[in-house]
Amino acid sequence: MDEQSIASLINYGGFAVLVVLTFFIGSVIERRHFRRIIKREKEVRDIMVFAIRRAPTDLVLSQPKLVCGNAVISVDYFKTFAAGLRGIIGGRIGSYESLFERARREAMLRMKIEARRHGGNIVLNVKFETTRIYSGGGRGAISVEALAYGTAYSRSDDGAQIH
Amino acid sequence: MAPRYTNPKLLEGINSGHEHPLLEVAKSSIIVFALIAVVIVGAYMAARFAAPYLPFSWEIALAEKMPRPDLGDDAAGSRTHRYITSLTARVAAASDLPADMAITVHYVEGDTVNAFATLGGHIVVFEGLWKLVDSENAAAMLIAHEIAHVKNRDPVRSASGTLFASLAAGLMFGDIGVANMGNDLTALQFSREQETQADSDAARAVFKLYGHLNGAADLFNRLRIVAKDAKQPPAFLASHPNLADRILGLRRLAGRNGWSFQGDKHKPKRNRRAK
Repeated sequence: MDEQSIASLINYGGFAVLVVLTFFIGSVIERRHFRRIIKREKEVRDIMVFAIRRAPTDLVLSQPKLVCGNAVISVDYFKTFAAGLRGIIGGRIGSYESLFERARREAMLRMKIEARRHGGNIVLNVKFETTRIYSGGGRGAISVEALAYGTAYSRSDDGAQIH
Repeated sequence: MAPRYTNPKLLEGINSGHEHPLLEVAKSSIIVFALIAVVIVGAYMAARFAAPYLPFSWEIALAEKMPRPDLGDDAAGSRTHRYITSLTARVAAASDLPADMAITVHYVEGDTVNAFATLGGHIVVFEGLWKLVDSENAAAMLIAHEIAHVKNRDPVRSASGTLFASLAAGLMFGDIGVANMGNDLTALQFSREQETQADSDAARAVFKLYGHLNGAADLFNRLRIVAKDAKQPPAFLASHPNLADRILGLRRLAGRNGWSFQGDKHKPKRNRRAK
């Protein structure tokens, strides 16, 4: 082998190894994260969230507070590679969809936990914001931040039980 | 009655997880590689198709931009080189070359049994092959064959096909493999059709020059004998296979056109070397 092919082997070979490794590591991390999200969502099921802007008049609400939760999740080599291929031919980027879903659900969870900590059990006017964080001057991997925020109230009418 | 406010349980698998990520990557890889293949093959075929329409002056300019291949011992100005040059001029005159097409012939000393035509009208004859030439007629056939390649634009067709394919690959993968082009120019592969056409054009030129084809197939015959004895087949055969077919082709062509194989052979002038 000449120098050039060794150099390109290091270039592409190293990349290929990283893609394969991060696929396995990333899948394990993602599966465990989803399991944790589902388990913790059950624990805060009693805190209801709505996107309505104004408090409905038929609910007895008190102690409004702004609550928010955010989560930052990084993409990995495999996800970037999969998205790069998609970037050429177009279509849904499944590897990013799961990433954003994790970020959003984690942010929502943390917002609910904060609401409970403040004595709230219902959050109205819930909104999401998403930010990308670049690393490596815009060429490297990106991270996504999801921020969920809303107005938490303490609800004291009889409809407080959920389903 | 007040409405019941509820938060239904979130359903899984709506926002993500429709397709296994590996399956997604496999599918898109296949499409991407197919696209790459189409682009490279397309560039190759388009370049090969367009190459013959490239003005010869551009071909010369292109050849000058290429890294000069290392041929070894270029015996420019030697007696043999002068002889081959003058013979080339006569053969070129009989080959009906376009006015702007100039042929430059190089003679390289050494054991390499080869001769080839490359970009810019350059023809290279190696001493190893020249030693097998025992008449001027055989030499004229060899030179006429290489001139026919130049005339038919075969070198620029092969070179630009390879060049454009590697350019297209370079654009997609980020590095351009022109570095190796210099050596590729000494080993341009021509198709069987291109070789047959060159043989037929060469025979026409040799007949025009001498009025007969005696000696035209001699070099092929000598090469067959050499190839049988040699441990390694001569380099010339790697790019010009099927000698038997070519001799047969030459005879058929001569038969069709009524070209005779009878006539006087001329002795070539060459450097006599002490054995």
